Amino acid sequence: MKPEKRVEEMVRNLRESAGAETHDRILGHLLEVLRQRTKPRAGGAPTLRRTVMRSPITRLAAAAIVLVAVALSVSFLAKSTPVASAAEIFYQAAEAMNGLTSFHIKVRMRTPPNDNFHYIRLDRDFTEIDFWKQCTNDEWGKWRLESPGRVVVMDGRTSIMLMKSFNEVHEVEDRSPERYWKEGLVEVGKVMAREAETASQRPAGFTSYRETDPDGREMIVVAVEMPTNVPPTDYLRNKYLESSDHLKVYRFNAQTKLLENLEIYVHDNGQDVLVFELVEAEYNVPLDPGLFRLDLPADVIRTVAPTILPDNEKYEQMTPKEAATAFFTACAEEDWNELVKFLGQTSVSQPMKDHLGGLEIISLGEPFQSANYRGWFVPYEIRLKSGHVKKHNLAIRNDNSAHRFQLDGGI
Amino acid sequence: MLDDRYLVWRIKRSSEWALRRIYNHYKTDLLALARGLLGRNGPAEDVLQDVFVKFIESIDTFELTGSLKGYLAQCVVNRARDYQRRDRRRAREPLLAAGQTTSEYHGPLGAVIADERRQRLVAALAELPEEQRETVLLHLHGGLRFREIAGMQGISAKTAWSRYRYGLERLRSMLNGQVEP
Repeated sequence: MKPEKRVEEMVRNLRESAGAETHDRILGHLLEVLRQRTKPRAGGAPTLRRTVMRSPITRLAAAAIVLVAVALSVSFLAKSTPVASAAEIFYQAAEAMNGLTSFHIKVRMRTPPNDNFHYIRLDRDFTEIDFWKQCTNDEWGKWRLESPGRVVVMDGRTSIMLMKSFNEVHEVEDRSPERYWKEGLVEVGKVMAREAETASQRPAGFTSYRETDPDGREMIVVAVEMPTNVPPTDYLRNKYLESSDHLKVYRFNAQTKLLENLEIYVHDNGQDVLVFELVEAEYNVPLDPGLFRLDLPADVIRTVAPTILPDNEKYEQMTPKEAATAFFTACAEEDWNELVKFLGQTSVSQPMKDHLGGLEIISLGEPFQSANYRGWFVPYEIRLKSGHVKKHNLAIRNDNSAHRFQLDGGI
Repeated sequence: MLDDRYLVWRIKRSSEWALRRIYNHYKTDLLALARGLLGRNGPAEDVLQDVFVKFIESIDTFELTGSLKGYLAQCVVNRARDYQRRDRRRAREPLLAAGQTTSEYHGPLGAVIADERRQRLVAALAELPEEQRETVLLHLHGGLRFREIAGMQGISAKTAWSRYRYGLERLRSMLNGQVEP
């Protein structure tokens, strides 16, 4: 190392902090100063009031001052309050986004690469997710949403999702990308409109200001605090944005009103964990029409709505734990005809057979429910054929027309 | 780190959470800066506290135009200068009393060596001309760019850079054998 660099490093290493006690003391004092700042001062005001009110002339003068002050404060508030401005900014952004012909947005989110697009995991690395949309006269246009493990394409008529790891395909007539990722930016115009509504109704959580970016462009920043009503001890707490206390920081180009950046932080145990970040936004760019076609592998497995089985009653009567037991037993015995009854698909894919076939059940815990999820979670511990021991919660739900428990996640 | 402007906005609304965030994020660098400028722990801690107290007291009218860290670092420098002016006659105390150093030395003997080296470095910093010491510390602990330091000191960025290089060179020669390639 060069001597100058060595000196720099030595000086930098002098930056060790004081002991925790010192900082606790200083911070305690600062918090007290902050609290004192907001406390109303007792004593002074009544004395002044009594003095002023003694004389009719000072009474009239005081009334005039109050009237002027009220008029000024109304005018000031109308200009400066973040309430109206945040809503207005979002409305303008929604209008700008709805006027686009096409866009491509790349984000990164803390989530397992193969999982659904709603799911967040604070302890996971970032997964990149792309969204392309070709706008048309139709409300939905054509779009493509893609992560390393999943791709969803809507060609203008139906949306089709390929889950790459299990080679499974899910096709529905629903054309809205929000079916797959409501909290994301896939319907960015709608997201902006919803934020505008919230800013109008719950203005206290919003703030906005202007700043200049490193390239000298003026940006408008809107920060939104979103509290959750999901209790801190709930299993689903911090697994979705809606089940976490989080902060969203939007950055709009002040000139075009288009969204240029978004960061989302989840507040967890005194930490602010960045879980979502807009990496790239391209607007009105030519998009390859091939993006909106999905060439499926020949051996894909299609998902289907559960149908009434000849012995449906047997499955209808299962408790969540019995259903989980039956599910894992079918895997252990490689009884794929039985397993498929819990999967809502035409058959069991080879990757799933390879993954779960011949497993050993170590234990199954007591089922529980969480947050607004309409299904059940069943704790399990299994040993896979590879020897790997997996401990997790099987998500199953029976709110379907056949009233049988179907796998919904946790594998 | 959350956006500083957002945190300032929250403090304006009396958020203790936001004050904690800002204090915890900048305390180490600002305290190191104050220590480097004053050469003593006690006064450095006083300066750190004073800077944040003033920051809170003026928060209603405070408008962040650049980086918050730069602003707070400048406040530390100003407060440290005030302190020094009032306190010229007081001798410098050893800096090391309250801190451990990041060190490549381990074990009791290693700690002694690291301690001695640290003492020498602190003494060498104290020997630097004030403007060089400020520049070195503002750059390395305050994280300020030379353009920002230049703005604070009323000089050109090139002069700030020169002060920094001269400062490092002087430290190197004062520490001679300690700075191995």
